[in-house]
Amino acid sequence: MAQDMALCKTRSLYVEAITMRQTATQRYDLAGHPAGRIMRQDLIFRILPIGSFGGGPDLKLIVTFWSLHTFGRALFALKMRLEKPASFILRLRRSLHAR
Amino acid sequence: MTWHTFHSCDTITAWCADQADTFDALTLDIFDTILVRRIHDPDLVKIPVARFITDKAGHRWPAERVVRFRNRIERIHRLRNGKRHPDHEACYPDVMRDLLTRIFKDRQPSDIAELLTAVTDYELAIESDMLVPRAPIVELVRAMRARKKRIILVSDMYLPASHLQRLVDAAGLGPLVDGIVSSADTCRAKASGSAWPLIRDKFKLDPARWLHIGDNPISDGLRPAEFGIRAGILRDTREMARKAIVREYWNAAPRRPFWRGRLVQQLMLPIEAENSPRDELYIAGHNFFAPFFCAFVHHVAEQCRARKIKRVYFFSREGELLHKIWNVLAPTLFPDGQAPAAHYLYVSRMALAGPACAVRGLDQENAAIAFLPAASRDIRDLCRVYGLEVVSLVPHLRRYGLQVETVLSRFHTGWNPANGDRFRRLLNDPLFQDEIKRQTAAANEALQRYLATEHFFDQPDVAVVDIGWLGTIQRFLHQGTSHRPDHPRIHGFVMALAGSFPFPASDDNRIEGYIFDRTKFDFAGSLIMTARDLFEEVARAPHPGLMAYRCKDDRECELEFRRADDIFAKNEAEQSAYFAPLREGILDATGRYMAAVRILNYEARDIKPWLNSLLVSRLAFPKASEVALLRHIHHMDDFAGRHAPLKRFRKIGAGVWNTAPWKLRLMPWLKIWHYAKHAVCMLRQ
Repeated sequence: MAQDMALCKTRSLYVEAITMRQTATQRYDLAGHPAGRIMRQDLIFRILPIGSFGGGPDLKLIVTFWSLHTFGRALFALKMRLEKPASFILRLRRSLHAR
Repeated sequence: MTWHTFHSCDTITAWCADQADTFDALTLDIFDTILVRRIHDPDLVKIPVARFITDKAGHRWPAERVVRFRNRIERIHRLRNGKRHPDHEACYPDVMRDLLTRIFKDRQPSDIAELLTAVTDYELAIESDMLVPRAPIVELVRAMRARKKRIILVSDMYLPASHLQRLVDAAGLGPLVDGIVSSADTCRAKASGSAWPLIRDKFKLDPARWLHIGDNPISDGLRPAEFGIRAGILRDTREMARKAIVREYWNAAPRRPFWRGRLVQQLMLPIEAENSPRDELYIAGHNFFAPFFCAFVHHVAEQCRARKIKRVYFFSREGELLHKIWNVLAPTLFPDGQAPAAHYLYVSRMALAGPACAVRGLDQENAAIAFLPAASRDIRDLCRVYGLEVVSLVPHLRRYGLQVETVLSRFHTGWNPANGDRFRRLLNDPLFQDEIKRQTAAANEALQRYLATEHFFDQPDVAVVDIGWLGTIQRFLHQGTSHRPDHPRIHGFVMALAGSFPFPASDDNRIEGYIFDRTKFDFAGSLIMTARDLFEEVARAPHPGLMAYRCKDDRECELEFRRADDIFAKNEAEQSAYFAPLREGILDATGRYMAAVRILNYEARDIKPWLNSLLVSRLAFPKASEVALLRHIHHMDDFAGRHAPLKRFRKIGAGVWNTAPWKLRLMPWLKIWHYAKHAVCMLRQ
């Protein structure tokens, strides 16, 4: 407890307010290093010679990850809602495949 | 009876709570309902288990073959059980015993039983690492438990109830549960509906006052409803999105090495209740620093295994954090129990500098080290660093026209190249060297005694681990012990090895950097050099630095630490307290790194491209807020003197991390300027 008090005192000397947030964002991304930051960085990689990144991230993959992190939940919610109404497509496909 | 489908945990728990008066028993599916997996595919657990078996079986049984064989045996068991029981189920102990018996044909049944226990323990440990209790469902169970409802967990799974009980206990749910039913025990599954009468009879339940929650529309919805049980199906869209993200990273990683480290970090991310709001420093530790420190220790472990090193020493004070990480990672990285013995060694540049001169005297390179910091100026600084008495050296200085205050560093007013020449001639003087050896002999003797108590001379090879940067501690340690016939070969591992000063590498004294090594050009990796002090302060143990080794009696030695009331010690303690949440984040992430690496079977080098990317993004082009948060408040170079250097040398090494955050906010091009400066500096080296 005394150690915590001392820590708070130390922090308060240098930080105006201790902000609290989650380590994984609501989009299951890294707090402080989200997919958008990787995308921005990749654009810089293309201009500046920065170094070895194991072949680089590939813009297509970055866009995929960014979309999944950003719209993933909404996409799955939509999929769940449309699962029953759209099931006829699946049945139709199966029947066509059977023929 | 019908069932209801829900798309979030909150709605299903609210629905259950509303009906609490209408049921006496609550049954829950285990996987993907009350426990969720970090990974998207449960079968991925089989791969590390196969590797565990491969380690014991030898090269004739590669992991892929073991997995294929296991799946085949499981299929045979399912078919066999399907003929005698209502469902095509398999039971893990039977399948695994069969598998082990077929692989280890020459072993006795008692050996197989022992092996089965080891494999089962390993598989359950991996499974347990991957499982996280789902917070809202656990809250619901607690609430229902408080209302005297019976809580029963049900699963269609190849693990029997006894094994599931271990997983549930490890997740901290054991006390909340009245019983566990697994299809592996009876070959009666939820999916066919044959499990429900069994559960009713076993626990004397009334279907009319029974509620079931699960995730499968057939097993947990249709079948219980047919049996007259109310059922709720949880099809959590958040969880589906999370698993889809993990799956995409998993698929990308083999094709693009860049994403391997990102995949590791995705699996390391806290989920459910683990992901509570935290301090920004904790997040920086967890999401930025932890992969560096963990991957470095991982690399050290791999090298120890490859070079058959039996003892590892972590140098104080930065080594304390690395030692803690080692203690978490070693059991996983050495599942055979052959991990090298790890020790925390109290060393420092100050304490070792003197003993290093006791045998060979003070050479040109060692003397130059004392004048590397711009604040060091004259013989007094040299004596402070090497623990020498100034008075005894004065006659020797006079012989070469030098005085105690003669400026020997080009960073200060009054520097003259002729003084440098005189100083070099002084270093070649045998009488001067004899005096140096005389003064440092006692400290060297104390060092030998200390190292002997730490069993340093017991092995032919030892690994020494430090954060970096010039390898000065290892240099002094080797110089102080190399005269002994039993001195070990030292394999040095540092996080980054700076290229600005030569290291006396030899067959018995090697050093290499992981993130950056001056012998291998890696520009992205070199960016770690722009924030050396930051990494040093983060890893630094919260105890005062070692100042000297002293002989106590005829045989013992004692360690002399910096006094706690010293201004530098106070500043360090303050800095250490500031970074305490950050270190907590690193240590919390270490266990998750271990679990991720075990599943993925990655080597430390697989993570390197991602670490390089983090370095560029977070160190070369940080946000102003990140600099404000992470920039150290106090940093002390124990070799540095107290003389103010010339103005043009005061900002040597200043970079983004020494720039005021407000400047970075207003002048973002400063980052590119500092980046270009670093690039030029690297190309010159």
